[in-house]
Amino acid sequence: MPDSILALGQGILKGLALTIKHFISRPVITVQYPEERLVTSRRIRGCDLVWDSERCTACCTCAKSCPQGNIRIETKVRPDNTREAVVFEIDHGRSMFCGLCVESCPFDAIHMGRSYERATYNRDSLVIPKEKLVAQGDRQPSGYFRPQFEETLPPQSLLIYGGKSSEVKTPENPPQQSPATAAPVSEKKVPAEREKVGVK
Amino acid sequence: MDWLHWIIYVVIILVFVLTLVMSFILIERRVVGRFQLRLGPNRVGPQGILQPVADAVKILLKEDIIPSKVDRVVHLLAPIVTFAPAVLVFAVIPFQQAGPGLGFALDAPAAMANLDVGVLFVFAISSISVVGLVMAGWASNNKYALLGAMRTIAQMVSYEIPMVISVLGIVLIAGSLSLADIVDKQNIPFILLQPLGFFIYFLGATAEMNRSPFDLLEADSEIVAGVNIEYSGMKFAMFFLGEYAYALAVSTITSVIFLGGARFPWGLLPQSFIWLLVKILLVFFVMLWIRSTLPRVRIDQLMGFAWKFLLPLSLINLFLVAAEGMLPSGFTWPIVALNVTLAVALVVIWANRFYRVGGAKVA
Amino acid sequence: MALKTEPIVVNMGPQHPSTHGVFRMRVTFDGEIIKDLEPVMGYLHRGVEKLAESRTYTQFIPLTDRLDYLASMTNNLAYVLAVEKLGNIEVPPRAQYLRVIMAEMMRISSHLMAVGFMINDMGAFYTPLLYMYREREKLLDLFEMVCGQRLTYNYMRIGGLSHDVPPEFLPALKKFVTEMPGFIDEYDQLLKENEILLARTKGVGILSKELAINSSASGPVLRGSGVKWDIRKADPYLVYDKLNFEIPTGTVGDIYDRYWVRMVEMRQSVRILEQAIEQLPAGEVRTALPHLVRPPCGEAYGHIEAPKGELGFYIISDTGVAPYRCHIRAPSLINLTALKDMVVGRMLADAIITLGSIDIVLGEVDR
Repeated sequence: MPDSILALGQGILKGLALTIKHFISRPVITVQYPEERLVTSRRIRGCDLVWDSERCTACCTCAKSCPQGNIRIETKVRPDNTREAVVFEIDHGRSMFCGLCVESCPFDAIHMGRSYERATYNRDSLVIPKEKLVAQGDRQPSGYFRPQFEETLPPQSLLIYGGKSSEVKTPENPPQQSPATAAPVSEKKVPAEREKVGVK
Repeated sequence: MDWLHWIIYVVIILVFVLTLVMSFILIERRVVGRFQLRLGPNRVGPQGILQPVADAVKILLKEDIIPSKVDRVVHLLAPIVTFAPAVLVFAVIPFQQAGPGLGFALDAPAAMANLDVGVLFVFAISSISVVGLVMAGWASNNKYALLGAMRTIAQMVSYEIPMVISVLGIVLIAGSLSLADIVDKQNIPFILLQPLGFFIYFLGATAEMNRSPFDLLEADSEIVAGVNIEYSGMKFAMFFLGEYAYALAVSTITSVIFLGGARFPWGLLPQSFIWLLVKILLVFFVMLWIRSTLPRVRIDQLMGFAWKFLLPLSLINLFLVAAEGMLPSGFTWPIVALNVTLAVALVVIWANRFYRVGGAKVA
Repeated sequence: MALKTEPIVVNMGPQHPSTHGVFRMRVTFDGEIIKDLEPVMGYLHRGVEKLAESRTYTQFIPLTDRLDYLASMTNNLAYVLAVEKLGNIEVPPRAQYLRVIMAEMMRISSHLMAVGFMINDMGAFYTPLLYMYREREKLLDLFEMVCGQRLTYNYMRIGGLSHDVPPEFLPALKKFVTEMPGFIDEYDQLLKENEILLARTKGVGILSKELAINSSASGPVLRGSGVKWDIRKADPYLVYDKLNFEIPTGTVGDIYDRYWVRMVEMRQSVRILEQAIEQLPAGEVRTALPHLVRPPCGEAYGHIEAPKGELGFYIISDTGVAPYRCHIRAPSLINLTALKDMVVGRMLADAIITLGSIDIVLGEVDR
């Protein structure tokens, strides 16, 4: 508890002094969107998803790990006994972009996107088919759970270092990179337990 | 020709009031934003100059809803009766004094009507807007509007008394009720001679205008939204503009009575209405500074503050001024020092007594 | 001859600018004084506890984010602790320290918002709130750096965290931790001795010690009434037993005491952050677990000291992929039951800031 509060009027004067100090000497921290934008995090879980049709083997792990069932896949067996996805649709209207599908994909075939300006006028147009899901134009993959993309993206602008025109200071001694967080290798063997994934 | 004089001054006053009220709306939002480390509106027109115009157009386009059982005539007249006195006050303000000035010289003070009883006129006219609030509360046929109106009237009436008594001290020093004479007698600004009077007047005026920290009756965290609960469209805009016009009027009166009006302090530069404008903006800035910082008081604390704190202090101030008036003249700077120390001592002692003895509690 | 008056019932409806969400109060007035207050809740009920029965343990983690959406990491943490208790799953030490860092950053952010909005309800025209939001922005930038989102993080997993922090996180956090005490001093300069604030909060909304304990209040509401009870000291989880910090308590239990407790807790959180950054070991952040976690049959209750009080998850499992039953002990709901006793006999303006000082979030109250 604070000790003895004497109400002589000095509390109000101190508050007024602080406010006038902010008026005179602190800069404005507004970022005037859309002319100025902040650089988003390298691991941003933006409002879209990016699919890589070359690497996808239609194993449907992403569809099974989605809490809401937003991904719809219809598969077909190719003549050389591999699978491909005939229909691969993600409902961006229902998705909460939690990233569980991205984490669970064993082949790094689905990534989070970087964009946050995906508003449309029509709810049906938020169900995105597979032709529009591949990386094109402004639909680019972000570094969430994908260190191979994270290295190529610019560093985030942080308010701690000043906001819109800040640079991220790199540390002199970076901490040890732990082996469990190394990049998931593309030809990773699927562990045995994953074969026994039950239907939800 | 007399009628030419009236017409010119009517045009000057209308232009002055309307332009400054519109720009006060913008200045308030940008300055309060700058206190909060953000930009205010700056999209409509360069630096947001056309923002008040956009607000006016929006309000004009709104539907004017009149509830069914109201008293139509009173409902229509209430915003007018609230807005008009704030503009009428400017009839006695001297925009520039007689004598040599910056650019041109005048042979009479530049006021529309240089009344001998200017101060009395100002306070009498500004009390008429209280009647407008009664009319608005009654005519809305809504018990919450009536309740809010009664509280607002109680607030405004109780804060007028210390305000007027503190200005009486100025009148005693200047020896005249005419505003032009008060400005002429200010070789040093009266704020230095009467710091306690300024303090009481400023707080009383802030409460009269329903501004922070005394704006509880138009706050959105109270259940009654105040007197203008049943008003929409241009009538609501009249209440809103009336509030800013009243703020402008109070700033102008403060600059004329306490800060020296159109004169430059210590006569370093010739007098001009530009200095009056600068002082008005300075007083408004102080009002915004107080608004951005302080939370608001509760209704019972509000009334206690007026009757138990400001009124006794203003009476003591009056006695002190009368006592100092009996000293021979020429003692200006010692009197300034004495008054400042007395003001600080009185405020501190009375505040302590007020806070501890029970001014700030529910009965 | 006495005037015959009738009490009127006024409804502060679900849409109101100062009820912190869709919360409804039916207040009975006698003149100015409140005689009775009846809270009506349920406008944000989404059936989260039932949804838990049809989601696997990992799939439920994003749904816990949406309970107390202003302090999402602590919701994740409570749930994950309950599941780990149920399945006897070990968490590596680096993950435990990082969890403590995230939880304390979340506590600072939540208290900034709580105090800011309480002062806003009192009428200071957004200025203290925006000054506190500036620091909260810095914290949200750090969270965005770690897990990619600013409000619903989905960062904790069963057995650790989802991935490690990037290398530029710790220098930025160190800079924040060195600057934050200066900013808390600024807030104190603005608010602590402000006479208007003192006049409006001292002696208002008093919750006595016995009533606080009897109504199961927790968090700053309980500590403001003088009871020294904090789960980080009483039942330590993660690595709190290796860190030095103190627990503030109030004396009377009025609104000023709760505000004071929150400000001191922010300072103590900064102290914990400094120690945790120093002691952070290297290593992995996630134990290897099967893709679908199936805890053995049984029940467990995992509770933490969330910024708003004691947040607990009670999980019953029957070796399926989804819990059999998941019950959430929401602190805001339990603290809210004491509202009526705090405001009867006061005026409406006091009731509004008392509600602000309990600090409710409707996502938690209604689930």
